[in-house]
Amino acid sequence: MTAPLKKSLISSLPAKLFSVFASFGLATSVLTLLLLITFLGTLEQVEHGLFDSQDKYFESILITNVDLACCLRAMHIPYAGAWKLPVLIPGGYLLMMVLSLNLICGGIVRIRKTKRTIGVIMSHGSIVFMLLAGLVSMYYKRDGAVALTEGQATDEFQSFHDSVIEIEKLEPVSSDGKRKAMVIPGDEFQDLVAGKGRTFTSKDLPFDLMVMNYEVNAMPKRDDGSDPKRAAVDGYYLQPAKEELEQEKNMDGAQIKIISKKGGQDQQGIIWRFAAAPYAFKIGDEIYGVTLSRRTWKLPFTVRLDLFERELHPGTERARKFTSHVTKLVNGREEKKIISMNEPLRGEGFALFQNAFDMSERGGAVVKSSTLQVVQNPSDYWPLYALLITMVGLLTHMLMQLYRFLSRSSSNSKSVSNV
Amino acid sequence: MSDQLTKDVAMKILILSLLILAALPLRAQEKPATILPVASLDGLRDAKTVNLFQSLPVQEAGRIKPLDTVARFKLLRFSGKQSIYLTSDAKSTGEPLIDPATGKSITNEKGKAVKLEATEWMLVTWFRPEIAKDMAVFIVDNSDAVIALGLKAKSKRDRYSYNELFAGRVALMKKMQEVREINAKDRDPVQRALAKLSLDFLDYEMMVGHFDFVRSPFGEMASSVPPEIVAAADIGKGRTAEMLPKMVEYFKTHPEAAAPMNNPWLREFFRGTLGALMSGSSESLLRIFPPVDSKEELWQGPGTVLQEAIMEGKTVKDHLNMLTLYEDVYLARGDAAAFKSKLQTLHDHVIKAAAARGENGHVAMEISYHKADYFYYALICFVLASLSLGLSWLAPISRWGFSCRIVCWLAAIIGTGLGIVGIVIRCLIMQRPPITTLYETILFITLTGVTLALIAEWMTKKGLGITVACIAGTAGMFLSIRFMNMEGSDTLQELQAVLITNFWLSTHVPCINLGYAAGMIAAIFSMIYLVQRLAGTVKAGDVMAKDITRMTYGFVMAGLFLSLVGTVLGGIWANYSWGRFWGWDPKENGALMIVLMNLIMLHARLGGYIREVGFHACSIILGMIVAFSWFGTNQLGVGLHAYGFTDGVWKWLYIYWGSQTVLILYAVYLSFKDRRAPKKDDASSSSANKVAQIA
Repeated sequence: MTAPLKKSLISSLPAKLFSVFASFGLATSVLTLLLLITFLGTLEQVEHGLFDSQDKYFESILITNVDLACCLRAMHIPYAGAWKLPVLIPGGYLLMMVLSLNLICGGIVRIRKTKRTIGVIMSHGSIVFMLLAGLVSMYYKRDGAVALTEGQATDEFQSFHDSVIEIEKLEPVSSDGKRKAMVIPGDEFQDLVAGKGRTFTSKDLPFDLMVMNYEVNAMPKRDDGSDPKRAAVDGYYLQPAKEELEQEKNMDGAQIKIISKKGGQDQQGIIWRFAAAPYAFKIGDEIYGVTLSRRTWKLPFTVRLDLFERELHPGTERARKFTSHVTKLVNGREEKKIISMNEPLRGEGFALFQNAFDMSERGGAVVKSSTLQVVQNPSDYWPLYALLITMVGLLTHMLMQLYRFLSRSSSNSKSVSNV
Repeated sequence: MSDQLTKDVAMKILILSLLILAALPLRAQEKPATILPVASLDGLRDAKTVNLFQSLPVQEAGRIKPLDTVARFKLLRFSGKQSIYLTSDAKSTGEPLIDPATGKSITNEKGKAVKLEATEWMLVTWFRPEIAKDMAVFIVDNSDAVIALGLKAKSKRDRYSYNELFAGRVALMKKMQEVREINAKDRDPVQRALAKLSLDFLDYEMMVGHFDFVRSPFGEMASSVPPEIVAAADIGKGRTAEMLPKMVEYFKTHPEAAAPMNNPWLREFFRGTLGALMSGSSESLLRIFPPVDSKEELWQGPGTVLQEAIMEGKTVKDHLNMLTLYEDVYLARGDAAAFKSKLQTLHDHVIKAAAARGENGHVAMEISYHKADYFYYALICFVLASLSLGLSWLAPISRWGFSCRIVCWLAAIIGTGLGIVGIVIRCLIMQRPPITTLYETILFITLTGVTLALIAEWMTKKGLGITVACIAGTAGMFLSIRFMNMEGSDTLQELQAVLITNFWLSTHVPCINLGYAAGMIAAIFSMIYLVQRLAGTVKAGDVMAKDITRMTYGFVMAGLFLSLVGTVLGGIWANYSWGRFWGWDPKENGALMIVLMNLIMLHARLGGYIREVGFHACSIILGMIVAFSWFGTNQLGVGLHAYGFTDGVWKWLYIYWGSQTVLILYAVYLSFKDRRAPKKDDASSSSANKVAQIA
């Protein structure tokens, strides 16, 4: 007696799960939650910036609080105090995952497959594809920038957001003349705030590196000894500053300690993203340098800025056009190219965009520099394909519905006139 | 954007400090006096004279436009209107102003108050400043601002003249300094009113002093001007254009005299220069001299020519020639015939020079566009359509009802036609697709929405589409006029570099805006449903209710398609042009929220979670989300699409949201009521399920 019951339980459990995942109820709830977090995530950008809000709302599994005070102020309601409401709402990442599952189960697998639903099925499939494109780009997209002054060339670019610590042997220079650096990714040291520290070790290095007191945004200042609790190194300390709304404007820094494996006294220093030179130290006969910088990636070609032009609408400061005239060097071949707003340079899986410019006076002359945004994204064109399928799907569905609606109206009016 | 603002502010500070330093001691003693010879008011209002001035091409904010446009938007900014009466309160009913030259009140042939169009008003400020100073040109939204200046306030929102405010000038400049320290978003209503008033007051001071550089270039310091520049015998007669090269030469040998702060006669001359520039904003200086050098893009004007001479020690012969022609016009003001002939010469010269550069613009078209006032007449048509529709309901099945419906249809079609013509002319003037600013979204969304509603009516003939068209047309056109007045600046703007792409401006942008339009139309259908339920003319599940629901459903479906495609197209543009498909920017999120709401409505209906009333409540929420996405996201002050903060938008948003919330609460009450009601309710739910199955 008990065996069949168990079996039916087992067989019905996946079926029940499937039916939950395929339900309209789930679709409606997930969409409603997405709507809610999109709204809150938009409002919180006003005081917390895009990067933090994106991290908290759209790329998260769970949202644990809502800064209602900020949301109210964003909506122009004067509320001076602080009001952080503890909540438990699924984050954007989780919601989009569930939505994809829901779309597959309900919108593709379970849906009745008739002539009438073909448009709907196509649309559901294309949205899954679009969400997948987002997932791929979240994990595999490389996004950074390179700033070039006129005449300067480069074959690498720096990430917009990812901080890394690079450890490099400065002397003796390696035999092949190439730079080699060991890299500690940001997520391994960015949690080391307020007195926390972590030691990094490598068998290839004659020392261990301890990183501590990481600051998201800080300025090195000369220590006047006024605060004995302050952790100062060589007469300097990192003065924490308010986090910038635009994350890429933050100037992060940390304290480091070099612990030689050969014994001897530890050396302490400060690394800061805008430091003019690496923090250098001697271990035996070798000199090493440590820098806190943005992650650097290689380009499969070299790009040189030949000329930067900015056109303004006459008599105004409104830009009409920004143009970077560049030379692309691939395998010794030179190609003259133009990058301007809405006209990027694409090739070799990379795209270079006009991002920013600078015209500052240095030594009496105006030095023009152009910042090119560099993007490598495997799912570059996927949204376009998805859109085309969505359009066809939705149009088919809508036209069929309109046809039915009109033919029903006309048959109704006929029947009315018959009466 | 911020660069430009900083420069503007810097320019304003410069001018402000100069005005305070230089103008005040003299100005305070100055009494309004008539400057001889007098330009006759009738002469200034002569049709040909006005036409010649109107059609002078000007380069302003980077664009070639008629002087008429400049005058219109200046007057609009100052007074909230594009025309003004020469009366004590600037209204037709006010006491006519007295002409100081004749001592008589200014009236027309019929003895009534004289109404000035914008260009005529500008001519009065230039040629008859003593009258212009008595015109109640400044609208002050908050009388506390006037009280703060130590002046006597009129009513809460009222108009004041230059002379009425003059006594509070020092206080006004002081307040301006204080208010400038406060972020625009954080200012209270009085501070906002003071900020606007001080800028307007300064600009007006420049306008009434526009011809000071000819009238009396050195003010009361004329006798101290060195003879190398003006011979003693020529004081008061010299031509500024002739003096400039001499002044430049003089400064070469006397560099110490070149600093306005140390040199009283130059300081006076500088004051005249500021008047000749005619604006405190660097983008809005009066530039009416096309440069002869074809490579030079920037036009010159009387003020910039003077400025160039005294600040940079430079004069250009062609520019001096044009300045001479400009001075000629002013000097001939006492003789109507000579005035017109000198004006014609200047006009011909400027037109020829502009044509030689291929920069005539679409001056004639733009003047006729403003004169035709398409959107105002469209509003009148929609109001008429709404009225006749309302009247038709008195006796629907009668000759009366039929006639009213005919009038309604005609008025709605003419209104839509006028609006569409207006949009097309705007595209022709700017040579670009229809939507580039928030103002243009209002025009486009209203007119496409009305067109869609009319098509829906034509297809269904239920009397619903036409109702929606009348409501949407009236509300949208009213909103467009209101919004233009709130912004108070030229609505035809040059674009930022990133927007200069006809492909995306003609795909993504219209698509998104059509999505907004569909959402708003759906919301209006639902408002009609709920109001009719309240009035008892519609019952849950009856034929009418089903019709409204079906049409709402149709617009939600269309809205989903347009918003989804529009949003994704925006992403593809973003990916194509700057490498990211989605950036969680407020405007993008707003669009996504619309898509999500559309999807929620469709799926909740399919799942049977909402029925008739629920669907309409959701559609009302959809309308609220559209309003947030359309206007709210721009007011947050963050993100790529933050085109700037417009005063007063939040207030309107909250009024709209408030009214909609009341409807939603009523819908919640209805849904409880419907659920309790036996029998009939089942019919409605089964009908909803049927629609669901079909969908």
